[in-house]
Amino acid sequence: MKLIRQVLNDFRRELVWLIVYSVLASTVFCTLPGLFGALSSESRRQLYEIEEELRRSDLSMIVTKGLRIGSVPEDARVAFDAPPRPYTGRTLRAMLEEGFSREGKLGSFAVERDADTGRAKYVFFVGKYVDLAPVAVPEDCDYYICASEGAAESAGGTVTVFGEELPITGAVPEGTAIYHPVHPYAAENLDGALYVFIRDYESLRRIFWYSHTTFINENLIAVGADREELAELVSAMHRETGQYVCVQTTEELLGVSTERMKTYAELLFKLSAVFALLAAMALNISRAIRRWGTEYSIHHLFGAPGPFIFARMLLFGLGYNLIAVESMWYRVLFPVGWTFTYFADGTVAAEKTRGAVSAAEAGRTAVSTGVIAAAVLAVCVYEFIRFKAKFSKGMRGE
Amino acid sequence: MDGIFAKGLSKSYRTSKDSVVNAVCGVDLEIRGGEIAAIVGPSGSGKSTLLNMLGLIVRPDSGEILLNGERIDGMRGGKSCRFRNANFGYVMQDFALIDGESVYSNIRLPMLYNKKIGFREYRRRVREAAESLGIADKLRRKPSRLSGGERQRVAIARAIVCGQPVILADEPTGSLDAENRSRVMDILLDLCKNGGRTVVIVTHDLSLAARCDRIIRMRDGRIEADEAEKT
Ligand SMILES: Nc1ncnc2c1ncn2[C@@H]1O[C@H](COP(=O)(O)OP(=O)(O)OP(=O)(O)O)[C@@H](O)[C@H]1O
Ligand SMILES: [Mg+2]
Repeated sequence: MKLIRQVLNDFRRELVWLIVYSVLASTVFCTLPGLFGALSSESRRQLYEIEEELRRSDLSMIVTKGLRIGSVPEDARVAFDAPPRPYTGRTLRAMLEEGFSREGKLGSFAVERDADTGRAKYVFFVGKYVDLAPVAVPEDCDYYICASEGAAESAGGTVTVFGEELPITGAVPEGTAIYHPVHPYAAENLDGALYVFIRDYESLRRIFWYSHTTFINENLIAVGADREELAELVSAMHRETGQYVCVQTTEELLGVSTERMKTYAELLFKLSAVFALLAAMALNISRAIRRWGTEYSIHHLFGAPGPFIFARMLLFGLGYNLIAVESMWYRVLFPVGWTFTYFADGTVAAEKTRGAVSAAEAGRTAVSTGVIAAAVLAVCVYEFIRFKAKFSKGMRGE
Repeated sequence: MDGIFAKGLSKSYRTSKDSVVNAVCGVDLEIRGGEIAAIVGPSGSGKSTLLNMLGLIVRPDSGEILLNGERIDGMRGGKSCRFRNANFGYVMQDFALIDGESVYSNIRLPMLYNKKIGFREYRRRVREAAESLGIADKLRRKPSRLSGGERQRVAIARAIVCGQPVILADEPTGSLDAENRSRVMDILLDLCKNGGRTVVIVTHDLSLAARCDRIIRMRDGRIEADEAEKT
């Protein structure tokens, strides 16, 4: 009882700092779970494996979007600069049909997002990309639908896609990511998404007649294609769609991939930022505890036992982070998004929408909470040892 | 055997990698119960260190300490905390009061950790201690608003509130003016003569020391002379 009263009193006298700290720490802590997700060995392993897979396959990227000439090596424009082959009369459609057939060399993927939350809802792997995906897809089926473990729909159920009810056949482990060197969402976490694997162009067109061209346009790759074949495809695309197209080999891309560098740089930045902020947190707690050093000494001198002093430090340290940790949990348990609807007359309706709890997110938040608690414990143990040492030297400094 | 008894007390501090300060070396000491003793000596002669060892704050490197015949130098942890609480009242040069809390809370502090004193007794005991020291009207104030003399009286009230039989005072008059010095000294003498307490004072002020039963002179960590002033 007196312990609680003393700790509350400590907080009362530290109130302004506590508020400032809580606001700052809340924002910092909220980034922690995401970071742990990005750092998890599982997603890094997959990234690495896919990268290796890409290296092994004789793969060419057909870059149609987000083309940045500046970042593309000289060699990469060879296919684009290569003189068009004599016109063979084959249309782009015919080339795609052949390319996306079982024996074909083309592949692509696309992500369809939830309009509200922005999270990946459907992930499509088409053609050769099926073999690059981190899931074993049976050879004999035209399409194969998998639910990730965190998705609302699960294996054995069905999903309705553009009016057609399709069975969900498999499951994809949590923490799966797509890796695509030029894709801005490289290594994006796909928990909760539905995976659709399609081997041939006909099925693609049949099921996704509505948006099949996006699959081709966005992330087109060719596996084992020679220069002539690529040049023919590039010429046809230019001729029929007016698109300027560039080809890069995997080696070139993995070597210069700006996206990949960006991902790592970003990770490094986040990591050091969180490290610095955790250190700042520890320093602030230590400062706050030291502020009561004289008072702890007086209590200890007149009979407060060591464990009592330690408990007072620890409760203070943990309580100091309570608001920030709580806001981190609040974000997980009650994720709130806003939907804006724009009307023709210029008015905007804003609607609050509540998302669902993801088990993985909750797990990462729990890990973050553990890390914070461990950091606080470490600071308190350190401060207590320091306090005892100082006390037993007659309350004189180190 | 009543009183404080110490034999062969030594304490050294390592100040850097290869230099050691012998703060106290081989001190033998006996202070009878109900006696008031002054420890004097030049700065750095080990007075505070000796007092802190007697008060179970600093552990001696060697030697033994007995209080009323009980061996206390080996006490550790919770046991030494309880012992300090029940037996010692500390008075410091800088008062060691908690400025953020009222005089009342400051005086009450040792009782929080004393299992023998129920919380119903707190008020009465604080009042009694404060009245005996003439600060009963200041209980609601914060120590930072009091004069130095008043603050030291608050500290003395805290040192007697649990009925601690021994008062250990490290330069209790060091921060006070002449008038308050002699007033605090009067109080300490009174606690000894009429309160039956054992009092040990570390001081630089020889005129105050002269009023004590004994003067213990220290130099370089040793007792140079141990004289009874008035017998
Ligand atoms: N915690 C400590 N660490 C290192 N050295 C110490 C420590 N405490 C005391 N000393 C040294 O031990 C010696 C005795 O110190 P002590 O404080 O007992 O002296 P003192 O007689 O009380 O001096 P003063 O009259 O100035 O208070 C000094 O040389 C001091 O530097
Ligand atoms: Mg001293």
